[in-house]
Amino acid sequence: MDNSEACGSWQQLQDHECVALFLNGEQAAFAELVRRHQNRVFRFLLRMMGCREEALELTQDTMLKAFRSLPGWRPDATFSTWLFRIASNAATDRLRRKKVVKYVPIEAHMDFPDPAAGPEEELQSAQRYRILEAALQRLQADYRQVLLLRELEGMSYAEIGDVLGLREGTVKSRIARARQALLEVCKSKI
Amino acid sequence: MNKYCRRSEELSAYLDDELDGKARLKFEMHLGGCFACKEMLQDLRGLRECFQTLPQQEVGFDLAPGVLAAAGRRASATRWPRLNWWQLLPVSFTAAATISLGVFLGASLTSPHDAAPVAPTLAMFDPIPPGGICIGFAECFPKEKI
Ligand SMILES: [Zn+2]
Repeated sequence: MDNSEACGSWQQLQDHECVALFLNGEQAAFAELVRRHQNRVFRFLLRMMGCREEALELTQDTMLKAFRSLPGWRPDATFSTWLFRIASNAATDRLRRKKVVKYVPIEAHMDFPDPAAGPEEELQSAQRYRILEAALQRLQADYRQVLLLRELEGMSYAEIGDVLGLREGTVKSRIARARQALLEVCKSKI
Repeated sequence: MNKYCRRSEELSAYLDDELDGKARLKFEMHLGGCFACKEMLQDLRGLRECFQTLPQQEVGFDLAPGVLAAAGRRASATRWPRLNWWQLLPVSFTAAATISLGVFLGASLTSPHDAAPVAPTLAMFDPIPPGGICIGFAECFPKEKI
């Protein structure tokens, strides 16, 4: 991911500085923003959609939409929050169009071993994340969305509200319900 | 996790450090005496740890060149030159002249004096072959006067 000679100087800049330079005609500043955020956006979309190809396509769409919309952007939120807003809208639209409820089974062999069973920590953690990935796919999309933004992106309730266009109180109750639902899906496995 | 305390929403916000000082203190007092909340807090912390173990997938290549190229293509595809009405005059005149010429030529081809061409006699469809002898049409024989 290193285009160091081309973007070495860009890496020193903050997001909002790159945005300002892009708006002054520097396309390389936008390229730096893409490189900086593409993996975070991709991971979020991957877990929303459950499919690498679709996540990749939506990540590109998100960046393209950002490119077109930046001239009209008003910095009422950080660039990354704004980018996640575009990404989450793209995911929601796609899921709504598909109207497919995926049933991802949590297989019996994915049961957690007894914590006191032994030193196979790596195997344990691999099993744990597989259970969690499967459980996330079984959650309803709006629950999955808030949990990913909170637990993986580390966003505050205010930031999540900005991304999803929700009031903080709604974010708070949705996260609590999403956690309960996730715990119910995982049962005793996590 | 069969039993949830009705204050589970506060518990979740407590875990996220989203309660203000007063609310946090109040909830901590509740937490001290609520078994369901204690148990759920432990579960939620386990869940959070588990989120941290998720693999950090990457795109694997730089998306920027493709995005910039696509943005450029789309921009050039949608950029039409804006012309004033007077700049469109020559084009309009040419179009009008072309249509008029077409109508004129079309009309002249279908005009009445050309519409009924003299059909040439086709010998091959004649009942009597060229140089042949008539074999039975009454008109071919001299009528006898009775
Ligand atoms: Zn309680």
